[in-house]
Amino acid sequence: MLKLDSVSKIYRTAEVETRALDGVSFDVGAGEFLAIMGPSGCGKSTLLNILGLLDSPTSGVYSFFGEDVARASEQYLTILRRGMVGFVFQSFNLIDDLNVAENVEVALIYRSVSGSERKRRVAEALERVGIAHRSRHLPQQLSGGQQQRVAIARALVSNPKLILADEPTGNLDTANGEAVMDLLTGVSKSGTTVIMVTHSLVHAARAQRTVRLLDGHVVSQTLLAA
Amino acid sequence: MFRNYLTAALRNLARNRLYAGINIGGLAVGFAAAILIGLFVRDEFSYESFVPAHQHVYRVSSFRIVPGRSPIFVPVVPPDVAAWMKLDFPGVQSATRLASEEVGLRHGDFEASDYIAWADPDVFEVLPLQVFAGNLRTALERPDAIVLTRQMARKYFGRDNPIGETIEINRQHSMQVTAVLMDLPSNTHLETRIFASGRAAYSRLAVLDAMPGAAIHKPWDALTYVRLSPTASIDELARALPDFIDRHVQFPGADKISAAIQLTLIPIAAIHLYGPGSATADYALAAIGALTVLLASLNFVNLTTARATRRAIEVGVRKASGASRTDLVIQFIGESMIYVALSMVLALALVEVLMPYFNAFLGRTILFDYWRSPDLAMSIAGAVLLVGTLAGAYPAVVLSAFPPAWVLRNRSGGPIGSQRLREALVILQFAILIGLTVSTGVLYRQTNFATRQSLRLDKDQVLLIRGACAKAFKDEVRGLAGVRSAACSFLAPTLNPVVIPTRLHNGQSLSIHESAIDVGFLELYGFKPLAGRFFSAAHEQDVPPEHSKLPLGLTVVINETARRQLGYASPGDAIGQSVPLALLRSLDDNQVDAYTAEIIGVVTDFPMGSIRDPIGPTVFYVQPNLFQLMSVKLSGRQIPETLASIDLLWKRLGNTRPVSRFFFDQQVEDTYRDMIRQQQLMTALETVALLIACLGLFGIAAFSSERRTKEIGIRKVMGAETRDIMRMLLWQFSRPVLYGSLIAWPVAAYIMHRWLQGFAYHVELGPWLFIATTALTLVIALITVSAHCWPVARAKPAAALRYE
Repeated sequence: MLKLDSVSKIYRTAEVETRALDGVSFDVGAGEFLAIMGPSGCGKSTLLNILGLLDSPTSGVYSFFGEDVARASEQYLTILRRGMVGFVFQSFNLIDDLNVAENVEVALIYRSVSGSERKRRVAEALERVGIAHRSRHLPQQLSGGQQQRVAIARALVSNPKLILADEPTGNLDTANGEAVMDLLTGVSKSGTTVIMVTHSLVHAARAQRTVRLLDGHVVSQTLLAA
Repeated sequence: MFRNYLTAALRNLARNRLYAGINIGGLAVGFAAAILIGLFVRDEFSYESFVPAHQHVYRVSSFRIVPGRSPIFVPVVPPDVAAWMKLDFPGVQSATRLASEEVGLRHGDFEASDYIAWADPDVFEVLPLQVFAGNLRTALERPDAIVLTRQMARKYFGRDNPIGETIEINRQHSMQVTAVLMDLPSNTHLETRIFASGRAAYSRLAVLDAMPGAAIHKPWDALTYVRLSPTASIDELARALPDFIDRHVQFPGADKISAAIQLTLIPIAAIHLYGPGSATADYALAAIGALTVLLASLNFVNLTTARATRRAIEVGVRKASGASRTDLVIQFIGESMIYVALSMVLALALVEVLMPYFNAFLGRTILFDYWRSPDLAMSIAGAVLLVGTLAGAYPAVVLSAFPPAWVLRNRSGGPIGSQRLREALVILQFAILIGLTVSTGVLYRQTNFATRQSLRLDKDQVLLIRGACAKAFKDEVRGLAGVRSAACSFLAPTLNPVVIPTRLHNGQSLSIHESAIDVGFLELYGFKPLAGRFFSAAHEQDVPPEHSKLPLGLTVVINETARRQLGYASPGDAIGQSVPLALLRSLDDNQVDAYTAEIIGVVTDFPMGSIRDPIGPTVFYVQPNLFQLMSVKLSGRQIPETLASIDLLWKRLGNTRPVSRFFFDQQVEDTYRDMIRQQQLMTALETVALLIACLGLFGIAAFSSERRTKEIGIRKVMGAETRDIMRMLLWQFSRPVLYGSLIAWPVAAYIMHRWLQGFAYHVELGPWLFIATTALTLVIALITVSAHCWPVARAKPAAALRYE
């Protein structure tokens, strides 16, 4: 489904050149639950951004569902992201001015979905993550765990083929973290490909495969017991 | 989708009330000022629009061509011009005259003094005013007919329709009301509200028409109007005027009258703009109104862009969810529209509240009826769209450019547009503010100079009484306890005297300004002779016999400019010398007689007109036949009692109309009314601009201090004291003021220098005004920002570092 072939990402300023990724190559199959691990600054988030079409590689080939998108325009990447990719972030990144339902709805308003259909799908997504009873609350009124559920609902509501989670349990306590992992595992089992960046070995063990990065390189890939 | 945008926008507004308040408040004030200025300028350029087909109506005026100075504009022409134009030009559909006169009017027990216009019966063909009652086509046919506006009808009769009722003029002549007009709007040059038939034998028009002799010698008392046919060519008519006047008028001492007098046709909509610089002033005001909106818009752009980082997460999420840049630009421009629309609503409310005061200040009745006036409503809607789009465009472009990957990882906005551009916007704001302030300062100084120092005479406690120079009255007034002295004259100082070209003994031609004054006039205004003496009743040849139209042996006092131009090295050299003059004989005709006069005294220069014109060579002589104004120097004690005594004396001596008196200051104000008003408007606008700039600075300072809290904490940990932090923050906000000055100073200096060149006498543009303006602006700016900088600078470092 996704194929990276010698992908590199270099950040250049006037004084400094930083090689965030260096010749990364691996595949991700449809429906797979993949974990990416590595120390801080190894390029995990950069890799996630490229996988999620939020950024483009400096060199190499990125095949996204059979299409090479490494040199695609920002406009084309935007169109691809709609309906195909959902994001879950460490800091939740909910919009403070919108309530729970409205935050989830943001993932649908840039697609041609009617108002009534949007409403139905938002309710369904909120139900799925168990936060429907707080649909009119603002983010400031929710706990960390609850905010992350909303973020997952937002990622799910457009029925994407791919969900990217950047340290989704990083700001949560153990119990809430487990609850979020349960949700992501459930999503993966329903056929959605999930790629998760994490520092936690425990959470990485929930994935089917772990890719380790160090200084922008893939240093190992570990298949875990089914 | 748009509901989502709207929800986000309104909740964002509610959560950030301070910044929303500053943004909306600043824009509202800017809009309100611009609307008021726009209404004024619209009124200025819509004069006479209530007159049907007003674009075909012109007033015939003239220019006196006098060697050695700029042409003198004269609103009137010889009284026969109207009839001549109808005969000579087929394109002139109709022509009419108005001769204004201040009279006493009495109905029953109510009596008052008003200006009436003696009018030809066909006046309403040329100026078809709106009728309330009666038939205007025949209203002034009868010699005893009078037509009033509703306002005048209510004043004298207590009701709107007194047709058939009579009213007395000067307690002598009974006139019958034959029609009533709708009240005239304030945007008209017509000052009269009462029209009386010029066919009355005692009317000014009839007296003029009955005068024997050549037309050029008849007093030019009547305003002449013509209505052209729609197909007539105004250019052709204008070109034919010199031959026209030469055909009808012969002027003694000139080959052709057209060399000395040029007729001109002024569209009635432009008559009120025929003062010096009037139209230019209106354009300048319109430009300043636009600048005010620009200032408020710059505020908006700056504040919105500076706070854009707070919306960064939202932008990142929306982009990650599939929003294109266009979607985001539309969203944020839409948000700007909401802010601008809210500001406009507030501005409309502000204008409604201010309109009565604005109208009172201008002396007009401008309507703010946007709900009935499509063009006004469209302009307001258009302004919201335009300002919302333009002001929202830059922040929208900046916000929509946030790279989602960076933003979502760092939870901040990253590069928020160009810092340099934002600083440039603040500098531009202050450049506009400082430029406006300097200009206002110069205007204030020049107005002060015009109405005080430039007069060069003692005007304290001087009362002017119109048409009051019977000897008996003058003697009685002099005898009153509260009166120091009284003296008559043809005109008051600050009004242009008569200017007549004279040929000197040596063949040199000189344009002499002539001023008929009374014995004691110059002393009343505080002058002393530089050489020789002033007029005295003890010297027989100074004062002509009573009722004589011609002086005896003519003696004159000249001013310094005349002394120089006549070639005398010092004031003493002029005494006893003779000078040839052509003097106006009387008020009843324009006849001039040639004299050789003896110079008995020299007086210092003082303006006998507006300081826009240089003081001309002026000759003063005594000719009671020309007196129509009395100057009365009061002692300053018991003024109300003295005024009451004067009023009683006036009545006792059989005057049929109420006394018309006013203090000299009023005369000065009338002369410089346009300048005084411009100065007041500019001061108001400048205050608005200052308010807007301070609001913007307050917002930016608040935001900037907030953003730098962590940095300030680190600096304090490193050893910075509160005053070091204050110095750093205050310097940040001093820079725009100083750089703005560098832009504003040369621009303001150039513009004000050009404006001052329109005055023969003016204040100097010294550097101190510019420096003081910048210093004052700096102080105000620093006080404004200190409210935020001080608490932040004093905060404990730990609190600042915990901020993250």
